[in-house]
Amino acid sequence: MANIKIDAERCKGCCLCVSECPRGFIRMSEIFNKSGNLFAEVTDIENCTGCALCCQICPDMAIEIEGKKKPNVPVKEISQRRTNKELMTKFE
Amino acid sequence: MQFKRPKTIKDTQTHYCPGCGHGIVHRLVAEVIDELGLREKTIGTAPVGCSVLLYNYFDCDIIECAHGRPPAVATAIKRCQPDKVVFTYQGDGDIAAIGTAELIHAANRGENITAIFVNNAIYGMTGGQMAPTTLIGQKTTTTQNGRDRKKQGPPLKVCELLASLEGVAYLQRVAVSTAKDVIIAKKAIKKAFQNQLDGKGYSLVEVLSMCPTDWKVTPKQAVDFVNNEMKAAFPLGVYKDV
Amino acid sequence: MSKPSKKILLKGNEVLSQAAINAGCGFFAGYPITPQNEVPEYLSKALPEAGGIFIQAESEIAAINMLFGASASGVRCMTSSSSPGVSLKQEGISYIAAAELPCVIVNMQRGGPGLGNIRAAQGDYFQSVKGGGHGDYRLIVLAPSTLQEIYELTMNAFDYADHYRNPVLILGDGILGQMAEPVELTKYRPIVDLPEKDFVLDGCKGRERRVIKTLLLQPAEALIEFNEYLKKKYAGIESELKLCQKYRCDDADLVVAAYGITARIAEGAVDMARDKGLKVGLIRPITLWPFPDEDFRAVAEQAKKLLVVEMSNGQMIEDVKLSIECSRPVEFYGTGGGWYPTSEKIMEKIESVYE
Ligand SMILES: Cc1ncc(C[n+]2csc(CCOP(=O)(O)OP(=O)(O)O)c2C)c(N)n1
Ligand code: SF4
Ligand code: SF4
Ligand code: SF4
Repeated sequence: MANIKIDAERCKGCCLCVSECPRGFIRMSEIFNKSGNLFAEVTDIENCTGCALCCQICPDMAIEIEGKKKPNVPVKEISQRRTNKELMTKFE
Repeated sequence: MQFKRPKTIKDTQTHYCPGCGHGIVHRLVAEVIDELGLREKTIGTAPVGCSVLLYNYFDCDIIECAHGRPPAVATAIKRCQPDKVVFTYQGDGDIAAIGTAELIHAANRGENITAIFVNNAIYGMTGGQMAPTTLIGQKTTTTQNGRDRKKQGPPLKVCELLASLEGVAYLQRVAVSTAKDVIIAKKAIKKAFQNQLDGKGYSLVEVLSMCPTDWKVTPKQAVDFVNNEMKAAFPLGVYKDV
Repeated sequence: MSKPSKKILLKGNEVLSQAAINAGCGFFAGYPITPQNEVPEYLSKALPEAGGIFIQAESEIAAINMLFGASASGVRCMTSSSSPGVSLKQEGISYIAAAELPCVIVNMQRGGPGLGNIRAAQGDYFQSVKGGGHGDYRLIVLAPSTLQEIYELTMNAFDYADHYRNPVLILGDGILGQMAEPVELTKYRPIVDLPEKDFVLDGCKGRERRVIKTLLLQPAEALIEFNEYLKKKYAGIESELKLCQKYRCDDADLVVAAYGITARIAEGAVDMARDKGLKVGLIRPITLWPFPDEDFRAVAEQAKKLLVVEMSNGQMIEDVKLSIECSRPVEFYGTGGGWYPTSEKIMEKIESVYE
């Protein structure tokens, strides 16, 4: 698990991190932040690998990671098990 | 694993549109400044363009220049203070249209500065007019039927153009449209700063970047445009490394 | 008894260059153009020898922007050109004035408009004192008329620039640049106090970072306030820095007004007129901005008429009329197209308008 945080107020809702996360662990919120944007949320912090690809693409420096541990489920399995699409529907 | 906002970036939220590439490039430049420990000896130049306000985000000395003139301003600062680190940050209109002469001559003199060139194939700040780097067929507010090679010429390729100049030490074209590209871009920017510290001469990194607003597309589509169209017209890679 | 002076023979452009070096100019950028080429030529050798930086820029635009950077680095800096080149510098001058960066700009005027010719002229008066570039800014404009004065005013120009944090323009012409005269290269001494340069960008070590910028978007009143501030600053310069020389004006019925080399030619005409018993004097503004209007008003009280002589078709005449509020008739004699007036021709004009 990675200690990943998305600053909802910094997020401008561009969704780039959503498509960048190889595990499909990021989705957009259903509520707006103070600036009126839907913001990104990590759906599975427990299994986030801390690969920081979402941080790399975020134009607004809204995602930060402090330290990481091994995910609970082996990375290989996660990527096979969950896709962004599945997650999105799961949370709908 | 740590991933934090670089120290050289202020806490302020940027004014850039959602999905704009400028924010990523800002972060990369700031990270490099942090990693090389240069914040207190860096003087940056701000261009005219969407990134004119970069002094609101960078926590180091910055001088805002007239449109296209940063290479001349940076030349003088570096000559007067050779022990300092000087970088320019320019858009495509700034560097490859109005400031072409300043660019070519600073590069040809081999000024020991670092140039960051953000190529988004459009004039962002003024509302989406054709840039020198606009692609053939790309629609802008001044090429409403798409850029026509016969009328507007082909897109201007800065790295290819500068590669023939002896004074230039390093040229690389990168992108910020995927996380992988961003990681490569960071390495290139770091090298361009390191070259200056090593006294190698003019180093320029061209960054293919997204302007969803003036391309009139979503951020995701903008990323796709860079990946599919821009990378084809502007091949990535190292154009010079001496 | 003062020591015998050690005068050496130099061209105007060389005198100016040496004055810059003596005043501690550490950076010069310029682009070749006749009739000021001796400035970059002289400085390309002498400035680096004195520890300064010389750059032959790719254009006048680049040169003035290099000054923007050099001045921001805290270095005394100068660029030099002639009319068409100075036109190209106007954008940069506006930015430098807005950023309040000190620097010295030289214009050895030549014939215009357009490419004109390479002879001496005074057709850039409007451009020099009325703006030239965009926006509400002012340049301090100095107009020497002898080579000794070029030497002194050039050194002073750096002081005024630093003192007022404003660009200073030295307005010469092709004759002043090209002619040679013996000049005493006196030691440089600052003539005004020089404030510490707290705007310099040299890396933010041990201090808050600094920004030099001219874009003022927010709050909406920021630019209004800045322009108000500039207005006050310019008013301050106007109250302190009006320089002017008068010659045989005390009892003059007719006062000739001219600046730069034209004033020197007119001085000859004034002497001829006096020899003929005509009460004629000369007033010569040394600062063209701020314009020495009080001095003009003072001579107009005594004189019945003024005669403005310029190497143009009449530009400074507007400021003369404004300063005396048209309280006297103002005659004009001018030569456009890069030709200088002779003392004889001015004398003819004096006789034709003298009452
Ligand atoms: C002399 C001058 N001409 C025109 C402009 C107007 N202008 C402001 S930004 C800009 C284009 C900027 O485009 P680019 O350099 O591509 O940067 P971007 O905004 O896309 O990041 C123009 C033409 C100006 N400020 N100054
Ligand atoms: S750190 Fe990697 S796994 Fe975790 S949310 Fe970001 S992209 Fe997904
Ligand atoms: S990339 Fe950044 S700004 Fe865009 S949605 Fe994700 S967190 Fe928000
Ligand atoms: S207009 Fe384009 S370049 Fe400018 S901030 Fe918006 S997305 Fe970025």
